[in-house]
Amino acid sequence: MTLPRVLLADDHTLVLEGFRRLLDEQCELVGTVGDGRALLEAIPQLKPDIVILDISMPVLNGIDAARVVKIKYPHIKVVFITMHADPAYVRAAFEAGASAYLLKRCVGEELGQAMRAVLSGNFYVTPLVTKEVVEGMLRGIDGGAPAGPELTTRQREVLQLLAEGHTVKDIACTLKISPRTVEFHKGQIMEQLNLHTTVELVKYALAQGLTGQS
Amino acid sequence: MARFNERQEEAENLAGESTEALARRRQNLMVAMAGLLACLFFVLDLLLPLGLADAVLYSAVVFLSAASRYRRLPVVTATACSLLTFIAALFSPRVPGLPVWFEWSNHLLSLFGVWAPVAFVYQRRRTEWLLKEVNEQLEQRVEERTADLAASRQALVRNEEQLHTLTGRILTAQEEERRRIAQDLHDDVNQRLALLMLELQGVDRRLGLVSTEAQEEVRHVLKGLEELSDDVRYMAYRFHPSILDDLGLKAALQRLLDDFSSRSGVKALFVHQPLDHALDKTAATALYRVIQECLSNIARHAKAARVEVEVTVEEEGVVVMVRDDGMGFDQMAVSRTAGGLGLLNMRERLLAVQGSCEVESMPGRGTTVSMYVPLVRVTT
Repeated sequence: MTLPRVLLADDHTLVLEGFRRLLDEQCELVGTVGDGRALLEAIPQLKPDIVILDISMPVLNGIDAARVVKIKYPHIKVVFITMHADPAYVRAAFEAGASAYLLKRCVGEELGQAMRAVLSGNFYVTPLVTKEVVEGMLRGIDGGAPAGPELTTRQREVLQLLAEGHTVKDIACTLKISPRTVEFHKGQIMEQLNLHTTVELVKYALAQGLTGQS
Repeated sequence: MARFNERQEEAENLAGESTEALARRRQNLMVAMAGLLACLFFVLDLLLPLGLADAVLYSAVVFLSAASRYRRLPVVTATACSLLTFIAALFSPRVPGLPVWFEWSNHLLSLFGVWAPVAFVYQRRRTEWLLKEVNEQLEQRVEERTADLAASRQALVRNEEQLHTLTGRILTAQEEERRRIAQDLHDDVNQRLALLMLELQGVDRRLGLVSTEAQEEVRHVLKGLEELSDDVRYMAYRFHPSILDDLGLKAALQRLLDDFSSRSGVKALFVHQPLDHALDKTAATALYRVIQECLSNIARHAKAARVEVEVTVEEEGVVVMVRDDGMGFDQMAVSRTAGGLGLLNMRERLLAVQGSCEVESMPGRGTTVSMYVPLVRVTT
């Protein structure tokens, strides 16, 4: 059985050394680099199956490097091993194309499992952060799901003016903001309320008693 | 064009010359008239006895000459007139029966009539000159004072600018220092901790075969290290949220608002327009800090149920609005007390990145803080 070829990117030499021993047991470590830019330069020569990288790195950070890797070499699996337990980081990592997300402190126990999952085409998230990630998902915060039907004062102003038949330009003038921002608010409101046309938007505003006319 | 200019200059010169010539001609005319009058009075003086009335008329000649711009002409005229009076006194007809002293005192009176205007004219000129002098001095002093005032005003403006620059530098330095400490904690201390844990986990695995008791102890140490690592991470986050540098303002604000909501129980709404032009680190940090300050004010004072944070992009900059539905405050009262310090701090922070900040509040009506940071900044 051939071992997967792994390229490791981390700017902490101590960590690189620590991981080397761990990785030697389960895969063929083809190289180590210190930042995202060096990682991108090393890939064509070393031809790894998996890249393991940290998020906070000098020159080019892990998230941006992963994005480029996934665009240029879609077959390479990306695994993040980092210190950040924040769900926002997890989200950013998977958005950039990651297949696994581990914390440095749990690597010893979980790396093998994560590698197996990744090589068979699955995703792996360390159990140490799944709680926060799932909670965030359920609360619908963290930018993922729509933020619910509650609108901000400015959004209600925009909605009322839209429902009263004013053009975007007029609204921009009245509220002293740019037309682009009005468009943004309109799009955001429709997304939040799960509405798809301006007619639906007006209906909603009327139903909520938002318009000035009685 | 050049020729045209030349011609115009010539014309102007001609005009200047002609007014000059006109003035000179008028002067000459006046002197001639004075001379003519003097001759006329001399003849009168010669023909009439006593010479009182006509000799005194010479004073008119002297007055006329005083109007001339030749400064010495009145004296010259007076001397000439005195001479004429003297000559006329010798040759004018006598009044029979009058004593000689009477006649001569008449002539002396005439001389007085001639010289009095001269004295008067010179006195007047002296007064005018003094007045002019005083005026000039006054004007000069006014000018000096105006210059002084302008200079001190300029110095004041300069001082204020220096103060702002200094505050900006202090804030930047502080932020830089905090960033460095956070980075050291996160990248050095915490990484080493993670490594220790990694090694200890290896020991744990190997111990499993030998002694469960020792394994228990190792696990206890591991647990402690884990807690320590979490604490260090939180400390680093408090010093400087690395999420701001790694994932940008939106993610950092989202995290801040999540924390704020779960800690204070205040509902937070967050609207964020994507930034086409990435906001640079300093500006993003300044905005983050000011929003943080707003939220901590809301948690401490506002008793709000809802907070809205909106980040929108206008043509030249980023606009952030933080609005709460809390109890609000009296702006005038707060700006007079120490409570205004937080607001001042917010303003200075944004000023350091050429931004601005406005607070609107009324008791019972909630508070709105609007911030603006330009996307392109002039480097100073």
